[in-house]
Amino acid sequence: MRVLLVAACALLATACATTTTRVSSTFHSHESASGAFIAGTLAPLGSFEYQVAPQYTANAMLRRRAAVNLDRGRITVDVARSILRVTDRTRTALDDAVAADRRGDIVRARVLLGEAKRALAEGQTTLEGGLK
Amino acid sequence: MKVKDARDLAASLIQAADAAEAAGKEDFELLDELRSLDDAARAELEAAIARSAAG
Repeated sequence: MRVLLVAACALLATACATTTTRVSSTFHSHESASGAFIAGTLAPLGSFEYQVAPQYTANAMLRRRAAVNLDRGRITVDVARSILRVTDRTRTALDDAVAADRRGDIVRARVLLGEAKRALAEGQTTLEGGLK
Repeated sequence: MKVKDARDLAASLIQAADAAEAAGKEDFELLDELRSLDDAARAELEAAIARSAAG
């Protein structure tokens, strides 16, 4: 497992070192005017975990970007509160999607994953639109 | 788990995997680690909101 982690993390670090966001099929990327970030997954290829892991990571990174930008006075507290709400929605949808997948309800899992992705995109748009 | 950026995330995940291995866990629970990461980021955003509202 550690070998896999090291290999994947090396890819992640390499991807982050480039000025252009260039991703392999292993990585899910988001880029914005405020800077690029990449959410990688170390989950087995093709698993449901493989699909949800980057969304969890992107959600955490969105929350952190909002906190940093609020501390720097680049977004208002209202924008930060909106991002907190939408990232909470994303997280709930992701947790519910994983639970649905584990009980074998594949259709429901995919619906919830779609909801999570839409909420995450809304949060990213809110942050980028709220930057001063 | 609190991270600053993607590189720090990578280092944190390796540390978590090492800790799991040292503890004798057979499987590294990636999603548990990512949930922990998200929880920490949420707490950080909540704290920033509280500071901003107070200031």
